[in-house]
Amino acid sequence: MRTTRGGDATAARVNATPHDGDFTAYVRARGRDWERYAYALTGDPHQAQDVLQTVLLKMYRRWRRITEIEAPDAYVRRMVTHAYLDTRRARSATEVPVAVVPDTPSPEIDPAERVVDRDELAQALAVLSPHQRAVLVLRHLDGLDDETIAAVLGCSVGTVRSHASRGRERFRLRLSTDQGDRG
Amino acid sequence: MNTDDLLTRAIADLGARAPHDPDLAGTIRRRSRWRIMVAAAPIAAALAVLAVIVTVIAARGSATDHPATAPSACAPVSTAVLPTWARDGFSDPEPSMPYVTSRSGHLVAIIFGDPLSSPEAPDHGNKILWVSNAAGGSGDLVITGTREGDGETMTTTLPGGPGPSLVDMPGPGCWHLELAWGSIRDSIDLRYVSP
Repeated sequence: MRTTRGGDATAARVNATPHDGDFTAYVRARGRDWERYAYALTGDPHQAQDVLQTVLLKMYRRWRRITEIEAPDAYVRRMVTHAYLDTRRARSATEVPVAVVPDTPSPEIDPAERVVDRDELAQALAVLSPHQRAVLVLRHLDGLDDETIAAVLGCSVGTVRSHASRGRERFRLRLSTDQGDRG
Repeated sequence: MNTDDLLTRAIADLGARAPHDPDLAGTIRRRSRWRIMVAAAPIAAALAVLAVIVTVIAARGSATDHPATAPSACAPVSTAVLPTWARDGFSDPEPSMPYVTSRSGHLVAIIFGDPLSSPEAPDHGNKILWVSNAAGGSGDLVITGTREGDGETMTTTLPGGPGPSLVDMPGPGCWHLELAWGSIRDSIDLRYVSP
């Protein structure tokens, strides 16, 4: 399953004018997506809100200048991502070596089991390094290709693929551990 | 479900649980206004202090450049009981009259024609009864007047010294009168109004 938003320069794009109405229209069109993005990155409601509002506040006050040189989506994505990375720079993810790869969940899982799964998935995301998480969120939530992700992060495509690969493996290993504990 | 699908699901599930602000644009606008207010508050306070300082300095400068008009020497004429030595001729033992006391305190000008007017009011003359208890007065009472403000002068003589008189002035205003009567030198200020 891959979610694509594909709205960078299409429906959500509004005219680059300094008017308040343009900003309001943009936020109404894209605000919920950015709330999801910020929360998927940070995993913390307060931090997500703070990061997103800080970026949108800058955007609101410099709407004309920003939109003259950059698509609003590109600006918000880049700024939110870097704000998240800045706040997490001091932290480091911990490798979690595991030996068991999780089984595929049953399609007829009960609701309680689903909640447990969801928590496990969230916890598995939490073990990713900030850059790994950013790459995987950009790839799996935004549906961006590696070149675009590299542009967002300001790194090479190779670095993006490295983060993606290591992050994916770390995520998988964490789920294996959880599955082993439950089993 | 492979790892990529699990990743997509995990991230999508997490995103779906993101807190939602239904008025996100309004929140941003309010935060912007608040930031502007907070940023402007010290400037506004500094400007207010500056305005007060400028006002004070301007007020001081104004006071220096344009001194306030000195209070007139002519106080309003008050009606009061006459001094004992000025009551001769009054039937009331404690007559109350509008009067002005001279600088020495030994002469009063009892104003019968209150208010004194220049030119003379159509309904009453500028009748003044001069009464003195000073020793050494003799002969005519010579009055030399100077009007406050423009310095216009006048001179008149009351034959026989203090007593009833009609004293007219060249114009309304506060008149400073130098009184000379024998060896006595005194002064008094009288206000004449436009009728």
